[in-house]
Amino acid sequence: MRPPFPPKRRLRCYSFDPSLAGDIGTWDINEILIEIPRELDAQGKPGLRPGPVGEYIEVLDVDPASRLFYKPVDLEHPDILVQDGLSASENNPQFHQQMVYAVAMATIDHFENAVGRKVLWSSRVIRDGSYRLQFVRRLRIYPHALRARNAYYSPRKKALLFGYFPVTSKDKKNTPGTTVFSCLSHDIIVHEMSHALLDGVHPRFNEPSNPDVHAFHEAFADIVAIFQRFSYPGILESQLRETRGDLGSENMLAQLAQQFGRATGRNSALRDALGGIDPETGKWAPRDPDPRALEQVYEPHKRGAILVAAVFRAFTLVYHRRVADLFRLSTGGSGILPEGAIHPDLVTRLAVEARETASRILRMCMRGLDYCPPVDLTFGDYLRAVITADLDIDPDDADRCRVAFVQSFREWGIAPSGVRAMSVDALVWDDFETVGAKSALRAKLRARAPGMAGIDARMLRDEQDRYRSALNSKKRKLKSGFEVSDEAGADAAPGSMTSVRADPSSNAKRLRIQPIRPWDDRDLIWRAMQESTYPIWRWLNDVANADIAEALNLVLRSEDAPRSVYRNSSGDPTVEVHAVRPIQRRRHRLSEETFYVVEVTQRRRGAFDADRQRQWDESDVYLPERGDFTYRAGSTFFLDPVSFEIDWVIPTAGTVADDAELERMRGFLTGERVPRANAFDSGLRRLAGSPAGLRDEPFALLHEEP
Amino acid sequence: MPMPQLEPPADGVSVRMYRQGHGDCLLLAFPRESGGPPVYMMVDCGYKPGSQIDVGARKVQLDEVVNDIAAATANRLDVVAVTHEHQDHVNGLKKFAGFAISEAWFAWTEDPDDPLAKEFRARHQDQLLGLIEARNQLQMLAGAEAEGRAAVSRLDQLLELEIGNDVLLPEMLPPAPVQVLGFGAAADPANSQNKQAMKVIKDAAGIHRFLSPHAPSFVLPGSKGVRIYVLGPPRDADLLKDEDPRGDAAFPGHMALGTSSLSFFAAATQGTEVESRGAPFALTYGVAKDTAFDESDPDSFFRSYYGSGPNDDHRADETPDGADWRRIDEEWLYSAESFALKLNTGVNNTSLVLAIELPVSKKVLLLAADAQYGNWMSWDDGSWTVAGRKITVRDLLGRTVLYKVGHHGSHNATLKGEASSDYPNLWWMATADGAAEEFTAMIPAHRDWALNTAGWDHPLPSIRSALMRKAQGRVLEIDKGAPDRPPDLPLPEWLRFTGRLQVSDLFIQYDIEDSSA
Repeated sequence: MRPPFPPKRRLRCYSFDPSLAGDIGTWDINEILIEIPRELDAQGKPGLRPGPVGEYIEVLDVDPASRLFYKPVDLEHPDILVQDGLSASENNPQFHQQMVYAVAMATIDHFENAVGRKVLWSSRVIRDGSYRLQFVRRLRIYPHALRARNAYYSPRKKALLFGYFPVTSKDKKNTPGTTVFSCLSHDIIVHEMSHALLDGVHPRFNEPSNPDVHAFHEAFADIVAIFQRFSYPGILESQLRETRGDLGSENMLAQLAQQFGRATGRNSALRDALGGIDPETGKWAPRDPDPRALEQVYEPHKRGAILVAAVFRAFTLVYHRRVADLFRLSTGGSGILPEGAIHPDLVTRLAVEARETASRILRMCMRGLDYCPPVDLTFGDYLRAVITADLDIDPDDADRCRVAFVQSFREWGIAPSGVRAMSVDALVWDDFETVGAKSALRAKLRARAPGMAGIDARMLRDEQDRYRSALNSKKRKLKSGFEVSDEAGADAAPGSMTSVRADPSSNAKRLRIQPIRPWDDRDLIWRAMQESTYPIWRWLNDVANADIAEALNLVLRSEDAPRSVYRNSSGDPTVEVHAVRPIQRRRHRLSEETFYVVEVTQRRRGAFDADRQRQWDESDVYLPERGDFTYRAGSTFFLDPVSFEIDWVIPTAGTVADDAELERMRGFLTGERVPRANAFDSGLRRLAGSPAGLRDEPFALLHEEP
Repeated sequence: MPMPQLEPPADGVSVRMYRQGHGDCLLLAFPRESGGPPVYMMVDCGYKPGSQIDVGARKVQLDEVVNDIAAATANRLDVVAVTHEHQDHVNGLKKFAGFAISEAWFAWTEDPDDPLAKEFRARHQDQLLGLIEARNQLQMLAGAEAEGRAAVSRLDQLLELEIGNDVLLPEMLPPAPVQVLGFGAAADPANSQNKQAMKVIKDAAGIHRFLSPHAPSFVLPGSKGVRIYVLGPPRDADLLKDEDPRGDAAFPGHMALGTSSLSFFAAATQGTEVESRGAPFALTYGVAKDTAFDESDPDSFFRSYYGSGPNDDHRADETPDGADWRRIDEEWLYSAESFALKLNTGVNNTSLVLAIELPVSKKVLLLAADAQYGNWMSWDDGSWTVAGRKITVRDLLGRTVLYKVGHHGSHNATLKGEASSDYPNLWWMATADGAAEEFTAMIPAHRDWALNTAGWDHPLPSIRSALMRKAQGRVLEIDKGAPDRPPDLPLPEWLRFTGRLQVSDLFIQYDIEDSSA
């Protein structure tokens, strides 16, 4: 039966920000209609409450600096419904509420379409003696939270906080005394939303353990902001006309936060994926791929901009490949356009190609998140993630998007360590047997068994068989589940992470890996995922499964782990299960499979001082509950919830026992590649140990505008 | 035991860097033109309270330093230069009331008759008032929790630099009403400890000079032709008007939102009594707090979702509506720290930067005070003409043999670059003949205190190691005393350096020769 209500709702928004309405050249594209799903309640009736407060989002317009609250907009009110929402206005806070809601929902919609599951926000962690998680149904949005040139996602409040500030500059684009609202910038809203979405998938991506981690957060947020724009009507067409179809030349689609950038002393948008103003000439110039760029840039936004540029270049490579024929057709075969405007039909056709390509690129980038290691991500890892993820959903790749990614990343000098070639097939992650076999053979090579000539294909095959049969013999236990017992609960294994709640009724319950049913109830999905972590956790904390764990880049045997590794009450290294989430794969046409993405890590105390570390590891000095920093290692793996096969295994660079990786992280945290924000900043030292009293808002500082 | 007066070499200058703690105090002695007692010049005297260094099983006290200066100069100072209004440069000045001071030098930003300077100072004061209010509100709203307390204490470190009063940190005090915490009404920025300390010097000095960059150079009165060049602070009306410089290029007044009722400062200074402090929207949209949480309204939107009371979430495994941990009542006040940092940078950029040229050898001493990026970048905006010859900043830096490192060696206070860079930076220094072999740096920083107590990375290790390389180990630090010889430096060369060096508990003294050879 058809739903009795229209399934979509259209809402008016600024296409970029209010500054476009003040310029006759951009006036026509300053407002757009965004189409988002109509939120229905359990009875199938329109269910969006004033605020707006819906299933995913609650907009609360609290302005503490002004000591005021602003009345919530009711988007179900007939007067508002019939006109596609309030018209764009800087002066009406209810329009601000509408715009943040609309843009946030559009971002969620894109994300769900790309990853094929419902969006969940990062859980609230409660440490009150035990360790519990709470389901957070709605992300909160405060459109007027701060009087500052800042907007940020707060992981601990599960909220977006937007600031506003008076303009002090006076130039052609700025009038002193006027106000800039960051919540009216489409790009800033999508950017902050993307932080929240990414945090919902990878809460540990807030922990900077190498220069790419924070930079990736920023880059991902900008990538979503840029490519989401292609889906809106009007803007793309206008920019195709302006650039005569060349989206590699200066255009607004690749630029972020125009008004904000100009109001904070730049002469341009805040960021531009294609180029920038040349200080010599004062004119815009494209930025050519620079394979050495990453070697010099460590500030997260600037470093992230390199990843954004690489992704945007992949887009233009595919787009130009797809439209070459259109240019030939419309120019009598020469492909060289005559002077003047291009034909409106050509604009329409180019827009179709650009839109499809952008949507594909955005999907690749979003799906890639599930194929990342659980911690310590590098840009190179992300390339492998994107390639593997795309292979899992579109094995054919008729548009050669994967090739374009590899080419562009290579040109920008982004390469994962330890791959044989920068080619699509070499970049795909390894499966369970291969990861296990490779690590076993590496160990053999290190041990240099006497009489061993070298490693050949047969040895690899033998090892692969060994791991496959090991898994086959042990998966029955995982399948049958585990009784919840006090002994194995979170209390008995200090610091370990299980999500089983201290609910008395769940005592002596046997927990198995749960199916996802239904797919649209976020609360039930969250609960099923939480319950599924328990059997995996029990399974991987059993020393009898040490060989399986080894292939998952984990160290279970006490004698293999340095002393500073966190252990359970029986003295064995603990494994934490951070996440279980479903993912849809389509490795063969027409057949869709559900896998569970599981993230497992182990923890170790890190000391800023190498001698102290040696003492912790080699003598029996007192081990503090926390080190100066926490070194984590482990893997993400793909588990079939029906057959209990394991497919991809995506490991971190080392295991928890790896001293070289620990030292690398120490060098990063105490070193000077971490940029200093100001003359009193002491770099990441201030974040790493998280001494009591430190304000845990990683994005508040990162997004602060000087 | 009466200490002897400080006597510079017959051809040269003695420079004492005192070891009173994290802060600046330099005493320079030059031979007098007419013979007789040397010409004494003091540049700043201050330190961050609590940052005294340990020498010989005790903490060096400011009084010891002042007594030493009194003995070294026989209570007579030809010049006291006050580089800028920060606690760690001025709080010792109040002890100099009994000195005979001939001239007091300040940057043009202190000039009471300069309209641009007046505007700067007015804005600085407005912003400081706003920050103090914000700090007090933050203390009230979040001071009970560890992170609020930590934020207030970091803010206090910065505000103390601006105001100069050395209050106890709030975490050392029992919970008490805000007013007693030192930043209440007693801390009037217009009459701050910093201003009072500077007034002592103004009152004691017969002549006040307000120095502007690139104004004609002049001879240090009484000296045998020691020439003073003023490099900063920049005098650039644009800094105040059109452009909105970012980050370290700031000057006070630049976040300068003071004029708008919608600024952070306007909200903070409204105080807590007023109901509304000016809102960005017409009043028809606003709901006051009482109405928003009206008990008689069962459908009160804000009571349901924002909540007003405590929230018990110890049972549920789903976050309830109105959870107290999601509220943002004090979030906006945390911006105070970044505003305070900007204000601090702005005041650092008002630093008086002097290049002192010796008469015979034309060697240069570069005293960079706390100049940061914006100040450095302006040095080369002008030049001087002396006896028909054009003197540029590149030329002065090239002849520099002693560099008093900017802002305790912090980030962006010694610009990195290359000799070929088109802005003044470390690699412009000591490029003239013979200068490299002599180039020496002085860093007035207490590293352990800064990093471990204040959380400041002073000196920044990368800047320190660049200086070490550039000066081949001739880097003098108040907390370290005598430096070690780099292993690859020949002993005779090192002995030539240490022969001019004298380290005591109270100071590090370095003599520079000024001869034609």
